[in-house]
Amino acid sequence: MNRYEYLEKIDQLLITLPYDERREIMYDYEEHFKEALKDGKTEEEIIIALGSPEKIASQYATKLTVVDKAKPEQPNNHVKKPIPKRPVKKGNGPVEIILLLFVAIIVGSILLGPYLGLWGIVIAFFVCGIVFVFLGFTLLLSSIVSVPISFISLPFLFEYPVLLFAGSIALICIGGLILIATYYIVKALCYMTYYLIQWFIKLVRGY
Amino acid sequence: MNIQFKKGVIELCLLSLLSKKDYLGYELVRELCDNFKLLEGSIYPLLRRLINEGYLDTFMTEPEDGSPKKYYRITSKGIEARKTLLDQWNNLTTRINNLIKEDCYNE
Repeated sequence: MNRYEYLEKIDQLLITLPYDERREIMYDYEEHFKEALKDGKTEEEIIIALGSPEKIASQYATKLTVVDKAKPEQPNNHVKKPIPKRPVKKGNGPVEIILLLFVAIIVGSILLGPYLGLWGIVIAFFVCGIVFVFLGFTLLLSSIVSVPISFISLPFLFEYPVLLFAGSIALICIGGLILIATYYIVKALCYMTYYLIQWFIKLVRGY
Repeated sequence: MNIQFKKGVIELCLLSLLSKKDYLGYELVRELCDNFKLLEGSIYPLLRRLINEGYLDTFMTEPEDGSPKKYYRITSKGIEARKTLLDQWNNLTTRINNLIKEDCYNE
C-alpha cells in the first residue's frame, strides 16, 4: 500500500463522520506523513508505525475519555443510537375472532336465560309498584267517599274506615318506593349491559 | 497493562506535555511513541477526543518558509483535567509503592 491508498482507505472508513471533522482528521494524517518523510522515514515505515486503517478508524467511533467516566455520554452524531420501538398494537387475527365468537355464542346462550330472568324481575317490580299505587289511591278515594268500589271485595275493611284510610296511604307509599327502586335497578342493569358489550367487543377485537 | 489504564496514562502525559508548551501533532507522537511502545495511530484519535472534551484546541501558524502548520494547545479546562488525572496517578502510585515496600519484610 502506498501513502495515497492508505489515506484514502482511512477517509473511506470515516465516511459516517461529519464532513468537517473528517477533513480535520485527514489533515492530521497528511501532516504526519509530511513530517515523518522529512524525518527520513519511508512511506512503508510510516504506515507500519501508524497501524492499520481499520484500527485507526475504529478509535474515532468510541466516545469517552478516561477523565470523564462520570459524565453522561456525549451524543456523537456518527454513532446511531437504536430507536426504541413503540409497542405495536396488534389486533386479533381472523382465526382468533372466529374462535372467540364461537365461544361467545355458547357462553351467551347459557347466560341468556338468567339475564332475561333479571329483566323479568324488574318488570314484576314495576308492575307491582304501579298496582300498589293505583290500589292505594282507589282505596283512599273509597275511604273518603265511604262508598265501596265495586271491583274491590274487602268487606271487613269498610267496617274500619280509618284503617282503610291509613292502609291506602301505606299502599301508595310502598308502591312509590317500589317504583323508585325499579328505576335504579333498571339504570344499573343498563350500565352493566353496556359495559359488558364493550368488554366483549374489545375481547374479540384483541385490543 | 489494561487498555483503559494505558489510555488514562497517555492522556496524562499528553496534557502534561501541552501544559508546558504548544506542540505539533507529529511532535507529540514522537515524544510518546519513542518513549513507550505505542501505535502512532492511537495518538491522533486521542487528541481528537481531548479536543471534543474541550481540554485542547488547535491553531494554525503561517510561517514564511513553508506551509501553514497546525499546533495543539491546552485549555484551562484541560489544565483542570490534568490535575485530576495527576491526583489519581499519585494516589495509585503511592498505594502501589506502600504495598511493594511491605513485601520486603518477608525477605
